[in-house]
Amino acid sequence: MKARLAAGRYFLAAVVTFWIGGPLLWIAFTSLRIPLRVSQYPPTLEGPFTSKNYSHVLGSLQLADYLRNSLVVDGAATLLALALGLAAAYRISLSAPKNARRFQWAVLVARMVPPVALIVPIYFIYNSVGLLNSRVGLGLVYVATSLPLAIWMLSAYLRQVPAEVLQAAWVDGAGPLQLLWSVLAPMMLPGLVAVGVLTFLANWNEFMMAVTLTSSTQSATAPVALVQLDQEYGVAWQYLSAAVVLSIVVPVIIGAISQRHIVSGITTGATKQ
Amino acid sequence: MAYPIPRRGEGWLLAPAGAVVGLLLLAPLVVSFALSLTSFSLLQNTTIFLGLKNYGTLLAHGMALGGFLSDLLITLRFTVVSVLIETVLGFALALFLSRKFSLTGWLRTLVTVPLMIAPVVSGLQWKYLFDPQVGMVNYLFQVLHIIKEPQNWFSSTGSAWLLIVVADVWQTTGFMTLFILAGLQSLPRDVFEAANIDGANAWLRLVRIKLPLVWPVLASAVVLRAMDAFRIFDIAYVLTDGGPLYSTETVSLFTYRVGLAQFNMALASASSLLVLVAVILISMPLMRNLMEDAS
Repeated sequence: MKARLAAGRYFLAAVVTFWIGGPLLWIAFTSLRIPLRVSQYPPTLEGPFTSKNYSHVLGSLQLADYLRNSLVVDGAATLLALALGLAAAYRISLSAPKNARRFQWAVLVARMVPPVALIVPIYFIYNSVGLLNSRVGLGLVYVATSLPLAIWMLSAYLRQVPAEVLQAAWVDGAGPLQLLWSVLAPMMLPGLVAVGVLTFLANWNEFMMAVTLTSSTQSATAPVALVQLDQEYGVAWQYLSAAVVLSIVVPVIIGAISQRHIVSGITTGATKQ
Repeated sequence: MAYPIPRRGEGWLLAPAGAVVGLLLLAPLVVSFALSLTSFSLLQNTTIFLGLKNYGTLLAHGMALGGFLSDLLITLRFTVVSVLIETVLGFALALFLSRKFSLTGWLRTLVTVPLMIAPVVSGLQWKYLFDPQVGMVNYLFQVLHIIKEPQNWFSSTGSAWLLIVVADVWQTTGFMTLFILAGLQSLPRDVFEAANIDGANAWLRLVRIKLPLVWPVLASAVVLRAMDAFRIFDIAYVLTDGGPLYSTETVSLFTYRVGLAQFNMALASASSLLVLVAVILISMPLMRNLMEDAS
């Protein structure tokens, strides 16, 4: 009975591993193959293998430019969202409880706004002020869409900071910026990292805004490049696979380093703190 | 932090965040509402005031192929089916992972992987796997004698929408699993131990004890997922782009097609605001819970 239970568990583990890991492994495998093998049916596992797909995608197909755009836009947006979010969360925490509650409601409603409600008017506005196809334009949108969650989560971390710490800083005559930078930021570092990681991942993977507001190598991000690749070289799965692998390197590294932050961020609300 | 004495003159700390959110979240919604009352299109020179006529158009002619109401039903069908599958699988997987064994750590890491990957990637990956010419799914199904000939899963209105369900389930079941697992692990242990001693069998323990206790967590997870599933765009855009014959066009795809491919921004504004209202309605119970937690 016990042996059967154990065998059942390993079988289930194998099924889950195959279901989640199988597709990704097949993509990684495809990214190393030559066109002849990729277009073969029924599929085989035969070689030869090559790394040319990667250099072709990065160079001729300019994925390097799109990845750079992703890093610049997303990195800047994440840092800005953290800075503005911390300042706002701090100020909200100082309000009278009734006002703080009103602010939190506003933040929550803002968090629920689906991106699809924004693409048409933002395209319209950007079209008239000339911010289409610009990294600054896309980055600003990401700051705006990231702020509600950032303020919400940072407020929760801020509630754990003892009031005495703030009072001590005030007595010492610290101005608000000094207090935020040299007292709160170091104390809340784990919280800032958690919010930063979630924000960065969400924006790295964002597609709807990016495809609406950007299109060229000047400003478009990696997900836009992947879809363009699919539309132009749809049959050449070896290129698309290489591009997919390259585009998930950054999130997977970040995920591997900060898995606990991600899990705790995802499961906020599952348990009462 | 228990509200210290407010200090005057620090309201400006809210200003930068307020300005960005105001200009890029609130103002666009106002602009969107204003546009929705007109006939504005980037392809036409003259714009006239229409009042609520665009909303009437969406609802009156909505049941035609590619109409708003027809797309709304497609979106609801997708939301119900995929969230249902994700809930059942996620709950089962959470139960499986709540009892530790040697591979628990590995499996927990593994279920977080799809959560870090772009929906666009999940869509492309399944597009490749279901490819009619070289797809691995056709091959596996042939080997297992489920199908005789390679199928074109994208060309049939019966199967195309299921591809989106598969890609969505692959991507988000891990969210359900982790969320429910966190809920299960916060339950008091002594209740289970008492049930074990009383000799309740596994099924009774699940239905009478675990399920009721974990119910509030399960409900929040379902609402969160439903909100996300209802506004699905990326995966559907990549896999089917609404086809064949609009059979997989969700309300987000509708808005994108009408507003940014056909440039009828007035009609698209109206539909996007209807989506906004629907999402807020779906999320109402969750928002109440969150507010209680925060205060």
